Amino acid sequence: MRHLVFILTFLIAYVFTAKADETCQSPYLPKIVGQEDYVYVWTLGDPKVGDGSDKLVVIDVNPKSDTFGKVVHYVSVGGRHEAHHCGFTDDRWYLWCGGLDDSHIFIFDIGSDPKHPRLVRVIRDFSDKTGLVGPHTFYALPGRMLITGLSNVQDRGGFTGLAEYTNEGEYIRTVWLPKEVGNFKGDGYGYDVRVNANLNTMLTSSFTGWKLYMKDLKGVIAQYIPKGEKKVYEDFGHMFGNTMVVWDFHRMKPKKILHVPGAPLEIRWALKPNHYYAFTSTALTDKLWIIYRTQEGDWEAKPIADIGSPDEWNLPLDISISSDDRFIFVGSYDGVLRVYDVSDPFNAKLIYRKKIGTQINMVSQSWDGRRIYITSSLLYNWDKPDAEHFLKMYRWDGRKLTHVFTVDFFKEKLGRPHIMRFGQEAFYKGIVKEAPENETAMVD
Amino acid sequence: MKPQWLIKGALAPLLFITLLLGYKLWEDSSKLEKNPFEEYYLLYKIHTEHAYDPSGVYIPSFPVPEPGTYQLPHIKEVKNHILLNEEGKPVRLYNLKKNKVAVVSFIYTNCPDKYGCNLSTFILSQLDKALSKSPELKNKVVIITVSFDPERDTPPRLKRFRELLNPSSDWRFLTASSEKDVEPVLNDFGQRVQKLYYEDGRWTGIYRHVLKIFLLDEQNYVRNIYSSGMVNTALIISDIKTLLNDPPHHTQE
Repeated sequence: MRHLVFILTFLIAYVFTAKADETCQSPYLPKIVGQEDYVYVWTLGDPKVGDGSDKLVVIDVNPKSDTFGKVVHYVSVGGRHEAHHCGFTDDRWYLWCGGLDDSHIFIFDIGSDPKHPRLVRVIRDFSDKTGLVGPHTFYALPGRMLITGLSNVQDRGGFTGLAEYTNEGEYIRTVWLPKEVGNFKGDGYGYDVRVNANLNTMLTSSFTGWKLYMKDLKGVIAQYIPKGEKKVYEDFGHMFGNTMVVWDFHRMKPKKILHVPGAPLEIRWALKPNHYYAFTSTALTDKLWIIYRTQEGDWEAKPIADIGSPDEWNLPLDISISSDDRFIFVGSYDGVLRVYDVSDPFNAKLIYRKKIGTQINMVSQSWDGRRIYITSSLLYNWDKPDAEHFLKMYRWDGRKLTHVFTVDFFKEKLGRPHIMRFGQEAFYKGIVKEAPENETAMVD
Repeated sequence: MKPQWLIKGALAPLLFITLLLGYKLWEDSSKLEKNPFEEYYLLYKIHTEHAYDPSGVYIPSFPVPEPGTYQLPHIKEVKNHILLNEEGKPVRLYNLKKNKVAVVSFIYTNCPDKYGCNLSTFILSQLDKALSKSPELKNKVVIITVSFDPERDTPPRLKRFRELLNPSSDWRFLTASSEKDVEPVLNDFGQRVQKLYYEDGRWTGIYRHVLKIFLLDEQNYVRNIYSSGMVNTALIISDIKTLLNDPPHHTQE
């Protein structure tokens, strides 16, 4: 009897443990178990469609629902702020969404009614308080939000930092990115941030400042991609970040600057215990990288794959890791989704590629790895003039993608979709559902 | 006296002692089976022994930073809340703290999550032992455990819980008269808890909650919040020492 009690207790504990959720989130977020009901899409306004304003769009993704694959709600925030990234607070109740242009932060209450988020607060003095411009990644820490900047108020270039806020929206502190750590030289540029709590290690990546990301680069991009030229890094590399920083997370102090040339963007830590490495992709040099802890405890970065043909510029933008650390999905500006097998993390193998659209950007996957969501938009001034704007959902069986539905964001008069986050009725209402058998197996 | 009487005389006390020991063992095992609280405590011990097992996600693997080599930001100030102590008497948080550093956790004693309340209490029991052995820290820190399940975690139950843990340092256990009374405390600290229900509407007896342990400085500011992955006794001690060497001020960094 005692053994039975222990086993039951252990299983209950297993189900309700706070771990990472849909594979690329902060480890401090409680996990959504099973089928997600909604995908929240932070969407950039386009004057050509609808009210032209940025908005949070809610799409029903539960296949048992009558409105599966449909837009069921949206909240327009008024005006165009260059909507880009979002992140939940550590209780998963509030979703913080940023505007890269005017640095406004929009806080939505998701938990009270997950189908109908409400805008509850707008932080308009982010730049005044922090000295930063372009709030990008919103990363949950216990009781607070860690926000990366892309730029600064002084010259609106690429030098930037990290800001901490309480979950209630009060400013705590700014930590600037280093230009030098010991013998390592850096650029002080920023983009993404991710923490591995077990290793007390934080990684930051680097992009470019407001002056460049708000500039009309359609011409520049059009000049290179059709010609298949790869000399873009030689011409423009100095204008972008070429480094990643390894931090002592608890002390919030940089330990080492890694040379990762060509704008390293999204960072994804491996999720398995004892997998002491992370991945990133470089947009200008088309490479997949591993950042790993050596046996001596030092940190190094190493390219592990060329993304696409070595002669072409494909501009990889987002990467998504499967919960078993086996697959990396790469969304690129050339509209192709590529899947790499990283079972051997130093030897990434391209196992699948599929043309999704004119251009694609963000890729999100469910914890069980079966459902893949893809959006199209990069930045207002960088999107291709002829780009379709959509969210597409696919099923992944481990070998190929099968299309399930498409939401045409222009036809729906919504705008240009960028980042996605998941929601679930049962989670917020505190209703217990039995976890699917295979999902439990995937977690282990 | 005949030798057989001598033997009988020696056997009688032995028999008595054997019966007494047998009764005591029976009484203990009987208590164990009948008292779910004791059963819980055993489970708690079992779980915490497994808190670092390699099948989980929590495997700390880093050297603890030296105290004073970093700063802890002023996250926010907490209010002077009223709660109930183990005797059922109302107490104010500031009066318990007495301008000491405080380590505050929110739990419920029926929690089955080995990475939740059990891990939190396990870490605090380690902290309790470490503090009691440290003349430098012993009188400068108070540990406070607050239950967010006042219906089941009554003052007598928390008193018993304290007895079982047998702390050596200043470790207090608090609860409230009702969920309504504990709610403002949870909101102020930022500890969200949620009752989980079966689909037919019955309460499971379980709360969803993210493990959080709060470090308060002498001026009642939250200076760090620990959650799964960063809950580490040595790390908390390093932070306590960092705070005690930090000149007091109220302004945000």
